[in-house]
Amino acid sequence: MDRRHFLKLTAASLASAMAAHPQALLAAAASHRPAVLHVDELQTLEAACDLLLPPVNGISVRDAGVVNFIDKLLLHEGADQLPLYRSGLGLFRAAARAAGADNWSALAAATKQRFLEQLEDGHLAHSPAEQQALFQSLRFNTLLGFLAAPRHGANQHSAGWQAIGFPGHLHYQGGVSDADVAGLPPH
Amino acid sequence: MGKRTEWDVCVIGSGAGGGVMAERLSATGMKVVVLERGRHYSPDAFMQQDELSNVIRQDFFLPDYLETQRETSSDTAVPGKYSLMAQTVGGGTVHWGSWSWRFRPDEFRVASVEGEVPDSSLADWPISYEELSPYYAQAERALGVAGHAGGNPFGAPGQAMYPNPPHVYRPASRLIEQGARRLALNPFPIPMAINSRIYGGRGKCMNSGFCSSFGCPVQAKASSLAVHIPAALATGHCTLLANCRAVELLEGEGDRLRGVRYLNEQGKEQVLQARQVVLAAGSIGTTQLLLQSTSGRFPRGLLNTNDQVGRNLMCHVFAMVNFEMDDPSHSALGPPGNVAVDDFHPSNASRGFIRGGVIGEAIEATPIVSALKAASYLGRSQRVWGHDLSDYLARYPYIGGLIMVGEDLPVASNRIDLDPEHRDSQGLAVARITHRRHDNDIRLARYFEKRMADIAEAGGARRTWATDYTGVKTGSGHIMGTCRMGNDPQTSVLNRWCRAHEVKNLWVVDGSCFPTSGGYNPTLTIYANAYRVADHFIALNSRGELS
Repeated sequence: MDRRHFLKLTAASLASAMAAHPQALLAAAASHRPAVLHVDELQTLEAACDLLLPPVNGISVRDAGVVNFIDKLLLHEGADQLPLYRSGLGLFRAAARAAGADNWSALAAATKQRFLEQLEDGHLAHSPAEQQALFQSLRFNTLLGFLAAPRHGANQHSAGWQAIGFPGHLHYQGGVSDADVAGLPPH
Repeated sequence: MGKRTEWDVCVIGSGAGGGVMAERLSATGMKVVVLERGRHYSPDAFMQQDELSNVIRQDFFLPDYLETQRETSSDTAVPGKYSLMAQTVGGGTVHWGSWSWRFRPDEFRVASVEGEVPDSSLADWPISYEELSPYYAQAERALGVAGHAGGNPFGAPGQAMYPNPPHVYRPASRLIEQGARRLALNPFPIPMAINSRIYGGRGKCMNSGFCSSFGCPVQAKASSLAVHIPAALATGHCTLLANCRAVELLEGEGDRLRGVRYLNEQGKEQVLQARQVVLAAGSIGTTQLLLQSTSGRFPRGLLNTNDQVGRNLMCHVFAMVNFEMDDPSHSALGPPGNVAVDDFHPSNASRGFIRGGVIGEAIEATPIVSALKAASYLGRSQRVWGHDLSDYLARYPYIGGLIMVGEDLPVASNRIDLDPEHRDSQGLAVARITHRRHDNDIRLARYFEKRMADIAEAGGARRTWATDYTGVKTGSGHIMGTCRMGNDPQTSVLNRWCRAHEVKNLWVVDGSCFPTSGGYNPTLTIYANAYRVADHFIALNSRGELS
């Protein structure tokens, strides 16, 4: 696959993530049971997401329910990315087997780090463009799962927002005062 | 509405231009119908917005929209959702950032000031700042703009007192103000159409953030949804048809339209008859509707005999610099930016480019967008993950920003037309954006990146970094041009009153009419121009000259 095809694929992945069916995702996100991915795939993804985005102020992608979000995304808005994930997760599985591990998550941290670097560079055995598209999608969806509004099934219990110090939707609590905005010490 | 109703005026689009026209014309007793493609939201619906829906996916205000984009006519246009627009009652004013500037006098006569510029289609406006000035004041009053008159020595002259005082500065605003003063610049409060106190029957801002790209649930932010459409409906002479998409302007006898064909809420085709038609669907929607209204007389689209409809698309050029400060920036609280610096606005070719722009405080508003800018912070496009990414995200509360809104040069080949390859969910050809930046735009942006970093560093920022925003095109939301007003029917689409040269009862009252883009956010100028056109329209009508 050449660069043009790769860019097209990437654009398609992002476009699908921007499709307009939020209610479907919302409904599915009510459940934490896997909808699309198998348990071992979820385990792999969670380990990968944790490397892509290690804990922020002690709050992890697991705390925010990122992998559950991605699972539901692949069922709805991101359904057309599912083949990319299925095929890409095969690479993770192959790497684990080659190292004699049951799951990619069990590999040494340095090994997993190197694997993700190779995935980003498209240097694994598989099609380079697809690897890079998967990497970009995985990184993008990890950020969505950590930081998007909880109503989308992401950022559970506002964990991601707490991690970065984002106050969320203050309309619900009646806003804040001008003095709060100014942040000046009281007279 | 009976089947044979003939409206005095049909207004297509309910944003800045359409809202004002509907309000002003219905107030004189004219029977007005407003066709709006999008939904009519109650403000409480805006409690349900979020970054994923409004910014990343854009499915709140553009739930069913497709367009294509390419750089040049030899490229293949790629389908997507590129433009920042709002298809809803109130249009783009519902989710605008509310920065409310008057253009400088020289920004109405750029061709005269700059002379011929290669690869650009510069033109003077057929109107002057002086002519528009009283209408700027009228718009500022209607919107309840908060600001400090006389604060900007480089702004338009004769600025009236703003109806509301400026908003309170957050810590990031104070850093910028301090940096600017240390550089002997002139910081001042950004004029914003957000209530800093109760005004116009609307509440005071509750400082909850979520302004740009979002509707305001308390309507402290002025919009046509909050101000003009309710006033129009209150006259008893205006009917609003939401979820109704105009699909064709119907030619009548002579140089006149007889009405509008539209799809109603159920997707069923309807025709309404109107004596006058005001098109205010935004630069893209307006062009799309004109081009899909073909006939024997206008085989290339209505008003397009001279092939000018859709050309000279502009969207401003932007520069962006973020900074990290020692204390919390409070960027997530309060209105979208507070302090501006306009010292670099006047055009000066010795800088390596012409024209200029305004620098304003950019809040680091929403988390996903901030996260997607990590590459700029880290200064690399690869390995933007791992502990470095987490470390960047942990700095979120301490990040502030500066943004420059710059005047982009009009280019004739930058245009909107109909894509022959792609159709939308209603079977109509989608708008195709062809846009490539003039080199001057890029040079302007790079210059301002340096000036903004200087300001932040002088103010005590720990670190500054730029994000390249020159690739932002219609995604800026500042979509202008495509139906120029001018005195020469060969080179423009509209006359100085925004009335079509070729069709007597058709008016285009939105950002389409701009010959050049100015170095400020455009909405106040769209509002002011609409008040000007409405006055003329009403005067003609009262004299029985509105043929």
